[in-house]
This record gives sequence, structure tokens and C-alpha cells, in this order.
Amino acid sequence: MKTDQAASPDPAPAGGVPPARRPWSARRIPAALTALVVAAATGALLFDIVRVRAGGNAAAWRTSLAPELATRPLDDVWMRVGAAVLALLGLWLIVLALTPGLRHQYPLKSPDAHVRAVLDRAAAVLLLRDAALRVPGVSGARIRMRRHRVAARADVRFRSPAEVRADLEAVLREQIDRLALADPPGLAVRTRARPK
Amino acid sequence: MRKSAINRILLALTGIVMLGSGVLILAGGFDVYRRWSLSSPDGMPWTAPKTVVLDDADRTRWTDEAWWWPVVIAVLAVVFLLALWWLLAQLHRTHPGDIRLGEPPADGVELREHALSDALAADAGRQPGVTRAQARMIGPSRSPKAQLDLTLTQDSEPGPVLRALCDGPLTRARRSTGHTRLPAEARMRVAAHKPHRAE
Repeated sequence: MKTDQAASPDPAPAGGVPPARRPWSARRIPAALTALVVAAATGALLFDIVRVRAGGNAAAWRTSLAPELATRPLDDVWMRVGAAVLALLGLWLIVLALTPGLRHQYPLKSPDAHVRAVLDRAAAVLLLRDAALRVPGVSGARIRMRRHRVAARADVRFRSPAEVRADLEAVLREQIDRLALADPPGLAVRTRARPK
Repeated sequence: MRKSAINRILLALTGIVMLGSGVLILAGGFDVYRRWSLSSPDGMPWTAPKTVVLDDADRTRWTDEAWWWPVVIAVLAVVFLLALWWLLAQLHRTHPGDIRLGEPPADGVELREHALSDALAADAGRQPGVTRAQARMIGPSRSPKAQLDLTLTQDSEPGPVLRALCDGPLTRARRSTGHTRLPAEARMRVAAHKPHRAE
């Protein structure tokens, strides 16, 4: 996603190509959502407190929330569910804060210290699939790519699956090299015979 | 400080507060302290299953004090404004605006940001292996940075495309603006297409 593009990196040292680093997401969307929730909650409470101070009546949500908080014991099922949800959301925010994100963008080896490039996972998968389909005997191929692993599954229409598998491995390895990824993933190939 | 760092620090703080209160309430609700005979420190809230999150006595403890409401309102207002600032910071992105030309930058000679990004996009789009290119400039005016979005052809190779991009369009942009180290980020994709088999 464009809005989640990595923030600017520290300037790389002049001369010599630094090892490509993973881009870190700016976490704009989680930050915007969290900020929105906090602003809405504090804004509503602030508005209501000021209204009551000015002589108005408290809003319905406040007059019903206060007795709920004051009467439901901690072992009430709703308190447990609420607390669990709160804890899980908090854990998720911490994970978001500490992990790089942008898992679908693969850094490329860059010839220039000031240029960073990434290849989208979808693009890598398409290029690998096209390479797999160029192998004689392959009638269909599915590529699944994770950060450090490419899993290819191919249907073999003719030739022996073992031969096709050896060819596929060589072709895909070569194609992975051609992608020029900074951190080339491992490869696992499976074939199955499916004569038509 | 970088926006990413600020976002991550604030997200982590929010997460720690939420995780902490959730875990404390759960621990009290399941009576963890008594079951595992843990001693809870003095003043720790929510230690027994039959206590409540916020009882009326606690909620109204200071409401008669003259300082209470002003303090509550001030704290809420500060948190509200901070959250609003944080939200607005996500919506806008720093752009260099006009880029000063020359090294060192000459006074009065400026290039509009869009002129540079449009030229860069047009130049990158003409490279072999690239079907579509978009570019924009980000970062502050004194250290602009190019962001490129490239769509590659089906038979392209990202490595050579990147090298050609550095040697061609980026080098030309650097030479013509005098920003000899103009940093760039490129993102490459390939348009989805149907599989076609070699016969």
C-alpha cells in the first residue's frame, strides 16, 4: 500500500554499497486508527464533562457506563471478555510497533548506496510462475512465496515428474537469481503427474 | 524525528497501557494472585475477583475538591489535542515544494517539485523493461527524495532494470538538479497477466 511506504532511511555512507535493509513501514494506518479512537474517546468525555460543569445533564452513555463499571465484578464474563480483547489489541499494537511490516516487499540488491528498491511479492510470484510454465511438461504451476521460502507446485502433463522436477528446480533457481533479491529465498518444488 | 519512529513509540505506549490493564483485570478476575499465592504490591488495583473496575467511591473521591475538574479537563484536553495532532500527521506527507538547484544550492534558482518528478517518471517510463512509471518527491526541501513506482514487463529482470534506472534517469536527475546524492526509493511490480505456456 502506498500510504504505508517506509519512512526515509538514514543517509547511507558514501562509497561502497551497504547491505540492503528491509524497508520499515511507517505504520500510518494503525497510527491513524489508534489516534482516531483516542481522540474520539477523550473528545466525547471532555465534551460531556464540560457540558455537565456548565449546568447540563450528563450524556446517557456516561450515566449507564459508570454503574456498569461500579457493579460488574472482575469475574463477570463480560469483564473477562472485555479485558481479554483489550489485552489482545494491546499486544497487537506492540507487535505492530516492533516489527518491520511490509512483508510483501522484497528488498533488491542495489548498485547505488542511495537507492533502495523493493520488488512486490505479487510481481515475484508472477515472474516465477511464468518461468515455471516455460519448463516443458508443466501444464500448471502455483507459486507460494513467503519471506524466506518459495514453494512451487506444478502439474506435469508429459515427461516423467522427476525429470520435470529437476528442470523446474534449476529454472526457478535461475529465475530467483534473476530477481536480484538482497536476501534470496529458499526453494521447495513439488510436482504431480496430471496427464490430460 | 522520523514519522515511523514517532508512530511506533506511540503505538507501543498505547499497546503497553492496553495490554497492562487487560492483563491486570484478567488476573484479578481469575483470582490468579490467591491461586498462585502471589503477593500483590500495595495499591495495586483489581486483585480480587469480586472487586470492580471503578467503584463509585473511587470515581467521586476528589470531585468535591476545587482542583479536580480543572485538572481532569486540562488532562483530557491535552490528550485530545495530542491524538488529533497524531491523526493529522498521518494524513499529510512532507513534500519538498520547490527544490533549490545547484551544489551548493544557488539562491533564487528553484525547480518545482512536480517538474522534477514528472521528468523522472517520463524518463523512467522509457527504460527498457518498464511499462509504466510514477514518481513523486518526498522529504523536506533541503533533502528531497524521489519515490518511484514502476510496473515492469512480464519478461523483465528487476536487477538490470534497477541498474538502468540508477545509471539513466536518476543520474540525469542528479546531474540536472545538482543534488548529487539525490536518494531514491523504487517499488517494482508486474501487471497481473494470464499464464501462457511455452509449447
